Order: sequence, then structure tokens, then C-alpha cells
Amino acid sequence: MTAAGDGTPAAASPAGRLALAGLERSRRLTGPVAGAAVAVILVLLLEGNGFASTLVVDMLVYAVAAMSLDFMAGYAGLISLGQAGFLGVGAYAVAIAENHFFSPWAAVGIALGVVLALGLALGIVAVRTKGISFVIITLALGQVLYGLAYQWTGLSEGDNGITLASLPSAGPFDLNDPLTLRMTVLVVFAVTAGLLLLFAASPFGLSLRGVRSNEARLAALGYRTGLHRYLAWVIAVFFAGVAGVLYIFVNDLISPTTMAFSADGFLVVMVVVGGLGSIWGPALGAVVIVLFQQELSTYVTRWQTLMGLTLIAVVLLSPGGFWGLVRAVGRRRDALITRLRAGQAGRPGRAEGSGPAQEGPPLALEAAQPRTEPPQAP
Amino acid sequence: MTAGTSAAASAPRPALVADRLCRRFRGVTAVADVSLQIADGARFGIIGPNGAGKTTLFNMLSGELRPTSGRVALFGRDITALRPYRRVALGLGRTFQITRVFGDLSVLENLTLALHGLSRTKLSLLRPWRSYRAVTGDAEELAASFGLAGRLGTRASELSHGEIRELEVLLTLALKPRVLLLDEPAAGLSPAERVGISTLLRSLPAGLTLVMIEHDIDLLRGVVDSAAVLHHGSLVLEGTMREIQRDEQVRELYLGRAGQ
Repeated sequence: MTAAGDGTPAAASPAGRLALAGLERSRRLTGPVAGAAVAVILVLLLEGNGFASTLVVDMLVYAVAAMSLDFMAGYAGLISLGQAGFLGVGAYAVAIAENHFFSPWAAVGIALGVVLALGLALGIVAVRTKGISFVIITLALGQVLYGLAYQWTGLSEGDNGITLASLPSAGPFDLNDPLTLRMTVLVVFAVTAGLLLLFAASPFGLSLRGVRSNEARLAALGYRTGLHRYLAWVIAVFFAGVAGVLYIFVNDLISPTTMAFSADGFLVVMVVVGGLGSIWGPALGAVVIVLFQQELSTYVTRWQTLMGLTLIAVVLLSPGGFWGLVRAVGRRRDALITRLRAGQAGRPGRAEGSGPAQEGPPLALEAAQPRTEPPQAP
Repeated sequence: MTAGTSAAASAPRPALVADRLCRRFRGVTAVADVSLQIADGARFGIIGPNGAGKTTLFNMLSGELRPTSGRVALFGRDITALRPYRRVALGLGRTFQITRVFGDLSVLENLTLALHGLSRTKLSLLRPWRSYRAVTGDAEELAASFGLAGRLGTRASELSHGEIRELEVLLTLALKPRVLLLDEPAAGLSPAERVGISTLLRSLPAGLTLVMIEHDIDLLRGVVDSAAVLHHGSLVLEGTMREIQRDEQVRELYLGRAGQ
């Protein structure tokens, strides 16, 4: 990298001070600035009526589903192969309720209620298992939901799917207006991302990472770990249902293919390629996968081969997915800041040892250093 | 607390009681008919050769394993049927022989998890854990008290072996247990690291009841007053450390066999 990368930082030189100030400002501002930039770009893209806005809306809907899956997969280690099933339930429930003469608003309420109830009920079964058994159970549940959509023709109209007659409206706020709908999808996406990030940063979110890291130890610390996994599942299923409601609003049609096994698989791919346990990463994963599915497929017949190669490259080069790359840059900057600070303080370049995660060599050196003495009894 | 009558009780209630505990694994008896009474505030050791059933006994005390027969009581309350997290809430903490810390999490996150363990806040969703200043402050204090202050941001998997052992004990201490079960806290440590863990163990709060599995008699002697010897799943001797060390049978069984 730069001159400071070789372990002997430019001590208290003006250049070093300038670089340090710049890096510290970048650490503070990168998040907000990037967020604002993305928001502006999304709004601009969604304002148009062209193909781009349709594409972006689809990306946002799948981003909500991918983030919901990430909440249980990335934090609690519960990798579900049935998440598209719950997206489908949310979408079907809106359409079926409307066909049974409920108002559009009531249909939304019913859909969210149905998904929540289903999540609460099926969670009792699903969360009894862990690891590969959980993957298989959720696969089975997803296939049961798919089968119902396909064969319960009295309710679901089979493989023709159901169309939606009209979308909710309230005074000037009318979701039947395409622009209002697109902006609403953006807002729901933002709120979902915000809530899931807040949940992830809470003591509960920390407990889920504990479940994933070492569940037996967590139980020995007084946690009822089954309850924590159950709640993670319910939250994830609920937001998949939210994605389903958005899905039917955007597409006006829900058919069983939306819940097929390949759809479940694509959601998992979005999460893994985007970066497990980061919420933003899977949103990014959704953007990329939807881009492949809808855009590249119109130019290249073998788009799936290209997608496969891309996925292999990402997984091999960055186990943390796209978001892992972003984080790596941030870590490198933090390490640089630590070194420059050490240089400013006039000490020979030794890292402070309090950075979130450092590069290998300085850490290994530190581990060999004698630690502070344990205290004496008072 | 009822006024004045507590002194009338004949003997002080033991902190932890194992009553005729048995555990069989497919016909193999790992623990046979072990009874122990550990007084409140006692420092108690459990020794015995490998495969004697020490960890199985611990797992039954802490609830990881159900006994085939027999009972466990904590401060007079039968806890045989309670799951581990319920026993923790009643003041029974334990550490593991094969160290179990949260490797993907930082030291601060490890300790924060432990500190939320007995509080309702562990289910709180709408507030970042970093904003619980009282809890993170406690975590920092806990880390500082045993020389992990500079390592708060380090991932637990990147700590040295000795530091991981200390973190393991700290996680359990964070729950402020009344009875602490330690499963070979010094296993696999270098002599220098042993000194650290021994100092830590000797500085534990005075009222804490400690039960500890350990192979290292020297380490044990500095920490516990009395001990029991387990062999082939049975209790062969119980007494003060002095008595244990003098006993011929123990030497033959355990010290002799180790070939020191």
C-alpha cells in the first residue's frame, strides 16, 4: 500500500498528521456519505418510468427478502432453504384476501397476520433442529408451501397464479400510482434495513451471534437459546412476508414459481455472496443477482454460466462476500490510523492493540508480549 | 429472611449436594453412586485419572447431562430436572475443560453477553448493546481486573491460550455465581500461564463456593482445602488435601500412575 504500510510510519511529520486527519475524517464520514449517495441514486432511478425503475424496484423487493434471511442465517446461523415460501405466503395472502372481498388495506393486514401466525407455528417445529437438519426441515417446509400453492387450486388458482385487482390507497396517497408505489417500496426497504440493523446491534442480536458461535456456552451463561433462535426465525419469516406484500404490489401477480426451490436457493446465494451477517451485504447480493437474472439474461443466453463463475470467484476471493471486501478496506484504514497515531505519539510503530481486528503480524507479536500482571487480592 | 430463627437450624445448609448420582452410557457405567456434600463457601477439588468420570459428574451437576439415577440439590433445592440455563439463574456457574468462548466475538462482546445473561435485557431488541453503558463498563472492569484490558477489541479466537482460559473463567464470574464449577481451568497451560490462572483463582470472592477438577496437585493445593478422589466412576476417598496427599491408595491410583 502506501509508505505507512511498511511498519515505519512517517513519525510526527506534517504529511503524516495530514494523512491521519484525512483518514479519521473518512472513518467518520464514509458511512453517512455513502448512504446519502445511494439514497439519491435510488430516488433518481425510481423517478423515471423506464426499465431501470422496474429493475430497481425488483432489486429492492428481493433485498428485503435477502436481508430477512440474513437476520437468521448470518447472525443465528440458521440457514433456511424455505424463505421464498414465506415471501409467497405474504403475496398470496394479499391476493386471496382481496379476492374474498376484503379491502386492500385489510388484505395487507391479513397477509402480515397470516405470515406471522405461520412463522410462530412452524417455528416450533423448525427451530427444534440445528445445522444441516434445520436446512432440510426448512427445505421441506418451503416445498410444502410451494406444493399448496401449486395444487390447492380452489384457493391459489394453481399454476396460473392470482392477479391483484387494486392496491391500497388513502386520500392523495395512492399505491396504484406507479411512482408512489416505487417510493413506498424504497421506504419500506429502508425501514426494514434500519430495523434489522438495530435488532442486530441489540443485546438480542449479540445473543444470536453467540448462538452461532457457541450455543452450549451461551446456555451455560443463562440464555434459553431455543427461545432466541425461535424469535430470530419469527422475525425473519415476518420480513419475508413483508417482501411478499411488496412483491405482489409490484408485480400484480403471484404464481407458484416465485416459491420454487430455485427461488429459495437464489435467496441463499444473495445472502452468501453479499456477505453473511451484515444486512447491507445481502441487499447488495440481491442487486447483483437480480441484475444477472433480469438484465444479463436478455443479452446473454448463457447468463447462468456467467453467474455461476462470478459466484465461484466471489466465494473464493472473499469468504465474507461483497460486504467482506468493504469491511476489509475499512479494517485496513483502521490499522493505518492506529499506526499513524502511534507515530504521532512519538513511539516506535507499535499498534495499540485495541483495534477491532488487526492484520496478522502485529497481532502475533503482541500475543508474545508479557501481559499485565493479574491483580493481587485486595 | 425470618427474624431470629435462622440460627436454630442444626447445621449450615450445604451449597451443593450430589445424592447417589449414577450415569451409564450404553451399559458402561461412567459415574456410579457418587454422593457429595459441599458446604457453603467451601473450596473443593475433584481429582482422579483420565476417564474416572469427573467431567461426567460435572455435566450432571451443571445440567448438561441427565443422571441415570440420583439427585442434585443446590442450596437445598432439588435441581435434578432443571436445564442448564435455569441452574445458572439459581447461581450455579461452570467452565468447560475444552474451552468454550465465543471465538468469532471480541473480548468485550464475550463479556457483554455474559453480563446480560441473567437480565431481561438479553431479549431487548430496540437499543444497541453498546449503549448499555453500565454493562459495557462492568465488562471493561472485569477485563481489567484480570489483565485483559488491552484486549477488549480482540477476537477471542486470536487470544493466547492462557488468555482464553482467563476469559472462560471471567465469562462465568460475570454471572456472579454462588457456586462455581471449574473443569480443569489450567489444562494445557504453560507453567507461566498456570501462575496467572492460579492467582486468578486465589483472588475469587470469599463467599463463593468452588468445585474444581484439576490434575495438577500443586495448583490444587494452593486453591482448595479438601478434595475427593474419583476412580472408575466411584468415589474412593474424600478428605482434606493433606489427607489425600498422604493416602497410599491415591498415590498408587493417581500419582504413581502419572509416573512423576
